[in-house]
Amino acid sequence: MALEVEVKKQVYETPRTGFNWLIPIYVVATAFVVLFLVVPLGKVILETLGLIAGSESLPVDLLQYMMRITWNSVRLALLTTFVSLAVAIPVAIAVNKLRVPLGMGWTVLLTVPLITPPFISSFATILLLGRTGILTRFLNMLGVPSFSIYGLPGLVITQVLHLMPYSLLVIVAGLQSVPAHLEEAAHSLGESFWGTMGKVVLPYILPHILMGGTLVFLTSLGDIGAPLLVGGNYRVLPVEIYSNFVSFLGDDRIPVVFSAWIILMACLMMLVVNRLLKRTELKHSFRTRAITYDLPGLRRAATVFLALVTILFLLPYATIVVSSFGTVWTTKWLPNAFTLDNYKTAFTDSVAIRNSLILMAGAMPFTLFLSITFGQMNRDVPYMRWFDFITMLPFIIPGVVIGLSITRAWGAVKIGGFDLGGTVLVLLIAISIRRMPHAIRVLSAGFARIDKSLEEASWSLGASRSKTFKDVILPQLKPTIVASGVILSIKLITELGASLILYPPGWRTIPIYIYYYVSEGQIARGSAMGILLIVIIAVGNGIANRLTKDRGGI
Amino acid sequence: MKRISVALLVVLLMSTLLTAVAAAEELVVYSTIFAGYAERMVQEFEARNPGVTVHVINPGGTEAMIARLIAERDNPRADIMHSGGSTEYAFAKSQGILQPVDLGDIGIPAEIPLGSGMLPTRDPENYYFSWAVLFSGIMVNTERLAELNLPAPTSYKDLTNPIYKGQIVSPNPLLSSTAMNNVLATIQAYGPDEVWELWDGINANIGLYSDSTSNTYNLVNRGEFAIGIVNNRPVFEYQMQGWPVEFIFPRDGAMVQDNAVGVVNGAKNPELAKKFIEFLLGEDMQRIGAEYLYTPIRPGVLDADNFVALENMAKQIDVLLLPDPEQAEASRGIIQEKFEGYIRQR
Repeated sequence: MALEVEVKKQVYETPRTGFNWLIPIYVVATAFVVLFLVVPLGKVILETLGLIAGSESLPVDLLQYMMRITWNSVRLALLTTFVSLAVAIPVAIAVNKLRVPLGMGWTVLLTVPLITPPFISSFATILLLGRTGILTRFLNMLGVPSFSIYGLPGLVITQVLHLMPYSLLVIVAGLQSVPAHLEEAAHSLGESFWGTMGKVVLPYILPHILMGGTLVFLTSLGDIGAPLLVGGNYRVLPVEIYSNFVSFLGDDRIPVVFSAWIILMACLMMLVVNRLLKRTELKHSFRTRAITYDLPGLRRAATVFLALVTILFLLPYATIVVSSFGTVWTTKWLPNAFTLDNYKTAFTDSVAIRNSLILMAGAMPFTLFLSITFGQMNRDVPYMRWFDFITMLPFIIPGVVIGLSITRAWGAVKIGGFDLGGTVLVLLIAISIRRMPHAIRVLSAGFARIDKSLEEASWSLGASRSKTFKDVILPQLKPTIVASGVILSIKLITELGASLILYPPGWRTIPIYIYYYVSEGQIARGSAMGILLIVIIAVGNGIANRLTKDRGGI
Repeated sequence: MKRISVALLVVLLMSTLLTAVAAAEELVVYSTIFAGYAERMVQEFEARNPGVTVHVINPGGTEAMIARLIAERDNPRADIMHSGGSTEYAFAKSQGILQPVDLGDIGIPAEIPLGSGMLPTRDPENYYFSWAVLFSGIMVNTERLAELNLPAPTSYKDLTNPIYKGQIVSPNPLLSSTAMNNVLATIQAYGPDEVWELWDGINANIGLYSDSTSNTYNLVNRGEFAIGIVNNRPVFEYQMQGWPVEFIFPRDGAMVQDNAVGVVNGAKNPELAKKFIEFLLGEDMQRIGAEYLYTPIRPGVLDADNFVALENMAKQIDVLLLPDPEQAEASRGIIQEKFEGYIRQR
């Protein structure tokens, strides 16, 4: 017993050398989030609390109603998460472990759904499975009775098709970090492939599975696009917040009451997830050579499985491609006529492409820097752990609310004649803040996997905290940093809610254009722009992959 | 080497981001109007005012536009608030985000005769001005109706017929002024009490209350729902694009509405803003607007038999309803209560 206590103490031993140079970085990053997230939201909340205090009481059935739509939101998020994980785990194993043809190409194909702006993907669901959808017609011909996608089924379908790739990317990153010797040991002790996966590999990457699931869960919980288009009468919290916040016909008090509630819920969930993460902390020496298996039979089965999943997940995007070359597409099998005009228009709006690229390039390194900083701060400074919850807020607070609150707080402030709100800087800040949680969540899985003994070794050899961070921790994080960079770049370039409310003259982005087209009934044109966006990101990621490969492994 | 190039890139990026465009004169217009019309409006105004650059910014819906203007109240970035109806402008005025502008005599009377009454064309205190006229009513997808073997409805009353069960889509009246105006039309047509019997029937047939007004049109265009409760102008637009849709002026009452414009309180360019409103209400732009199916408010711009002309619209309407702000205000509570009930019970 006494010995164990001794060991525990050693874990928390701090390095001997002087000042922790990471602290100033923590302070700057924290100050940034306080200024552009905590202060603006706090201001909105305080203003509304004043309003609530001075107004008549809230409707009696509000609490009951809130509970009902909370259950709606949670049920939707849980269903989406479970279905997503059930698809993502076998896909990740097949791609990583079974030497399937195309290899990681499947992962790349399956990340396409991440790129599409939510409005377009929801509309693809309608084109496919709506009452007059192509699949619906086909199923009707086969004698399957009509069904309605407006509500829970349509939402789960749309969200799984859209969000599964998050968990896939995180789990794939996890699989790449499984130490080869563990698998080799299991294998040489006579475990079958499934035994090795079930008893060694999956438990090892549990943090990644949990994080992938959490990412899907939280994104589903905060999603507005799909519920707006296919949610129908199935009402969820974020739509209620968004609608009542933006519309002057709505009730101003509802967004604040509901936001407070949704934040509380998300915090509780994060507590549970963090607890689980801690329980899965294993310490292994650090070696990341991925191991694969040569099992021809299983490989063939896996290839068929991958092909089926990929077809299923890309079907909506095939529909978008067809729609992007079409004119009017109503109750028939195909559009009335085909044309290239939609693409011509998309290219004439090339300023949107330029804007989106600049914004992404500007926001991405900064956001990644913030996210890594907070990830490290969370391990390094125990009394700042609660800050993790703050950085997560933008996950579930609609972008419009974040954008408007930043304008309210900072729009009229001038620093030495520099009008912050009048430049695109405010937009950059807003999308960084809004998308930061995605990177932080992905990274936290990587941080959970860091080998503490190496860190301690570095300390006891006299390295400072900052040196240990640079030379010991960062290299271990690398695969996760790449994964979070991919997700982050996609999330930044598809940001809509905050952009719409903040963009200064001349700074329309691709998602803004798509939003306009779709809201003006020009679905085909929006589809063309959406395809363009997919191509841009695919090319961008291809280049990024090349670059990271050239630099060589760790 | 790599560090230097990265640093250079960052510097380059920051300088692009921070460069303020130094044009001679700039006018910032917040507008949620259709992009084609917006582009033409900018072109025409810039052609008439050399050296002026017009920026149109669409924050995504009239409500979002007002929310953005309120958030920017202490340091307004827009000169003009454009599009959306008088109801919204009255609210904007009450929020202090508009300022009055004296146009003098521009050839549009303060009220024009319409149906059996008079339609006001501007705010009595000159905070906002109508520039186009629209009507609320019913949209149908003819192909889908034929497929379902259903007759086209001709009135709100028809929408209570159980044959349309599940085939009607409406924006949420608690969030959409388009839907709200349709409800107000029925209140005027049927009276504040009997109207709820009508809506109990329509509600039973409504398959979907959409939280997005624009998506309502998309869903009917696509044939997902055969019938939508909407406004006329977008339907004409979609018809022109080739969608199999038609607009029906309800026989029991079509409510007239408008598209309005006003100067933002604290606008950086008040003179230019005034010029812009004069331009919008001027004969040229009113006629050009008609090309984009906006019914001109200015009398005499179009021949009376022109499809878009107010006279031609009025001719097709059996019961023409004029907005009644007092009744609208008085009904707000009951509308809120009724539709919260309808929607939450789903």
